[in-house]
Amino acid sequence: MTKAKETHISEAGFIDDLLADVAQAQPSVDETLMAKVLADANRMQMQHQHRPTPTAPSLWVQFQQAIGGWPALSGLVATGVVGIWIGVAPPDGLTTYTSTLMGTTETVDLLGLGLDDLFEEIVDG
Amino acid sequence: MVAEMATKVVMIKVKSRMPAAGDISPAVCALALSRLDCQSMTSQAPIVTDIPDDALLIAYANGDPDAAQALAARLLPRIMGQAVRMLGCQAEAEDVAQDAMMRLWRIAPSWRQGEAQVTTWMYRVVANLCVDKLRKRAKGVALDDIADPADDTPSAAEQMQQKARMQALTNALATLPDRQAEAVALRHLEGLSNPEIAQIMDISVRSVESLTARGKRALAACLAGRRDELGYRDD
Repeated sequence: MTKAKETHISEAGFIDDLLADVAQAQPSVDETLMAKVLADANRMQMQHQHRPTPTAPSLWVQFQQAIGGWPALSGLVATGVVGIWIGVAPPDGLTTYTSTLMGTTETVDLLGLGLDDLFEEIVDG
Repeated sequence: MVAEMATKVVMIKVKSRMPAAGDISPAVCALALSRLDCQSMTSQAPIVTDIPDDALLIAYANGDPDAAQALAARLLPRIMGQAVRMLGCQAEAEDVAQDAMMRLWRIAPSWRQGEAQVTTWMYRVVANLCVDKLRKRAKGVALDDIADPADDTPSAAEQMQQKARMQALTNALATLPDRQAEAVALRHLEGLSNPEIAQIMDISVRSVESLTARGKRALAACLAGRRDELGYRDD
């Protein structure tokens, strides 16, 4: 075994002994320290007690959070208002456009006889 | 009185309406109450020792005035031991202990039972605080106020020897990288197992082995040639 290797092994053993010796240190807890710690505990406990108790959010807040908060809510309201406005007072261009796109409704009497006439004939016999 | 305190701990929690403070399981309540019955019939053993740390912590958060005392009496000796062994200085260790306990009181309302052990959390906090102290400490600080070892009234020479050894070790620890110093201290000064250290440091067991091995080699290199000076003989 080389000299360097022997030295390394003996140093390692000495470190183990040193760690084991220091590991035996068991200090006592000073009464002053205990008093300080308990004073801290009491002070913090008072703060915890005065903190507002967390409560469950209201249904309105839950709804608002579910749809994505104020931005989503304002978008929803704006869309609704515009929808109502268009329904009540549609712009001229929109009426023409929908007529062109979807056509207009026509009533065709395939029998050449009005319903009123038909009912009159049945009633009169 | 202790029995009264334990009853209070349990009853306060049962009456509590603080959802953020977690919940004490029915098993804990049953255990505490059964111990109460046992004690009233048999011995005067402190039944509060049977209540888990986290249950006491939640009771503290819910306003129990006695829970803090029970927790401090249980945790402070362990914290002081860890801090003194890492720092080698009573005054610094007391600062660390007070700081660590303060952090515990502060976190109490948001502690959730069963998620972590108070002792694991505390080992981590104390180790981190000690490493911070080691970093800030000037080299060669006098250890006049170091705690005496607990063994049978050592002579003045032995006390001096022990102080010198502690000073040498803490100064050497201060030269190590933080994680190595923490791992070596937890393994060799606190006597914890590698899986326990892995949990405390939030790393793998393999990493713990690597850190402790490298840490010990670094300590050996730092303290090379001081064996005789520190009173260790080559057997």
